Amino acid sequence: MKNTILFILFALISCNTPKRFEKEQKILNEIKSKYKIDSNDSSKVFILTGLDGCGACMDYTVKFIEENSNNPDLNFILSGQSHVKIKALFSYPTIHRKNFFRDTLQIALRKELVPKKNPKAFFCKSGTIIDSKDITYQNADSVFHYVNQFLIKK
Amino acid sequence: MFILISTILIFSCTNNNNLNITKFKIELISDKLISLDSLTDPWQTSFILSDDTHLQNQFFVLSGIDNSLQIYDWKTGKIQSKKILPKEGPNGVGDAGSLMVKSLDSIFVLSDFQFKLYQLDRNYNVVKSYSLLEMEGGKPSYGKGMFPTSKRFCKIGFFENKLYLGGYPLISALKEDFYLKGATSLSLNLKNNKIKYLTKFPPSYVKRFRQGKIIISQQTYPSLTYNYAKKQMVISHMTDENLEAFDLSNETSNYYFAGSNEQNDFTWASKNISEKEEFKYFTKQPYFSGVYYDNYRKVYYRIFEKPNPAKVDGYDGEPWTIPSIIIINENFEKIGETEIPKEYSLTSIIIAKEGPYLRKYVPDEDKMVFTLFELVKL
Repeated sequence: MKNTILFILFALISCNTPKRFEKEQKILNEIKSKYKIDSNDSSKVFILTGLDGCGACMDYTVKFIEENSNNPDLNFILSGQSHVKIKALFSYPTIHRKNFFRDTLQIALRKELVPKKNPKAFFCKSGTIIDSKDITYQNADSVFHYVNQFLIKK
Repeated sequence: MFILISTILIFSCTNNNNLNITKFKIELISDKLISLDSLTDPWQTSFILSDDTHLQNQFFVLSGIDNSLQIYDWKTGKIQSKKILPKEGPNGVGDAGSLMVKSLDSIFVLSDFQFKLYQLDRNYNVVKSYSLLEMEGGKPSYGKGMFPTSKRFCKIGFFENKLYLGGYPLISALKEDFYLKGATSLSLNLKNNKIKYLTKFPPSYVKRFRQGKIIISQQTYPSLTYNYAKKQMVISHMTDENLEAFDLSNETSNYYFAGSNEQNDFTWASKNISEKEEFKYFTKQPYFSGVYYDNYRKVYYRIFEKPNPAKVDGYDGEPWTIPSIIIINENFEKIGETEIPKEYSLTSIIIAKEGPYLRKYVPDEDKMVFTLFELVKL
């Protein structure tokens, strides 16, 4: 009986894990393909954000991106059309890093991969999303700590 | 027989009145470009053309991105000066939201979320700051009074040592007091720093609330304009067909019909509308987005926005609305209405001596475009 319950639980978990992020994975793949983002080999974290929305959430996220822009395990995708906002938010070296991408077609926002109100982090292993977290004013510190821990453990 | 004659007489009188009013329409004439620097987002700006005759050709722009105050030559569209306003410190002005230029030594900057108004001199130093918070027993009382909005269509006015600002009540729109008692404008006496709440929502709002309806957050902003010669502050509420004329001397309001030919019966949201549904609901509703007094031509322009049926989502490049401009004379008689192209969706109006200008949507981020229009007699 105990084994049967364990088996059912295991089966449920294994069925749900890929499906949980099925929609998100499809959209992220579309973005990766559109902007030629290659990240299938190692574990990666994608930080996605729109250019409007919660100012304090953006402040935290911009600071994190600036401080970590030279980390190749991180990819930053900025969804929006405004060149002015990008220039106002980020330094010239950050904007020109290889892991800094501009989603000018706003695929991430349009398909609701990232909320309009706040940024979002996606955690991947071998190109597959295994976790995600919204970045809000209240939890930004803990999410970025989680990002660092995730990358250390890879 | 008597009734018949009376009816004919009344009818003829009414017709004569209508015939005496000259009707107008609007014709678009030419574009004016304001060249922006690379760190100014044209849609994150607040701007005014100074009313002061000495500053006639100076166009003031507050840029939300870098908190800067920029002055342009209105004739050439070229920048003359730019100063980044500090947010903190002795000359800090917080997040500068909107401005009013009395003279170069009296530039008033509103920081709405701080409930503060700052007076700057020509060197952009803070000369004085004023609190817009409700006071109780000599201390600021948070959660009461009015939120002073810095929306472009809600102009700050100046009349006899008082500044006038619009906003919405700091009361939940689910409570009757929001419609019955909540303030939509205030005056700030620059001599004694005292604020006084002046106007409320129109009576029709209370009636609709009692029928189980509410206005949602996007519909709460009043638009303010001023006819100083007649000592009037004129208010347009977003879902009321009437204009409110507030007498600045005796502090009373009168309401005048200034609706659109399109729709004057607004469907309000039900009390249980969810936060998620609000935006979708708002995009399907017509509303009045602003009123502007033209002191050169002695008319009011009221902008009516109806939903654009071609708009599918926020990313399709279609404007949200199709606007029209209602023209009203100083006696608050409607003298015309013209539908304008959808490039002017969510537009605002600048009143200049040579004529009024409409803000035009252009995708380029390096300029602001305004189109001069003309009132044409029909």
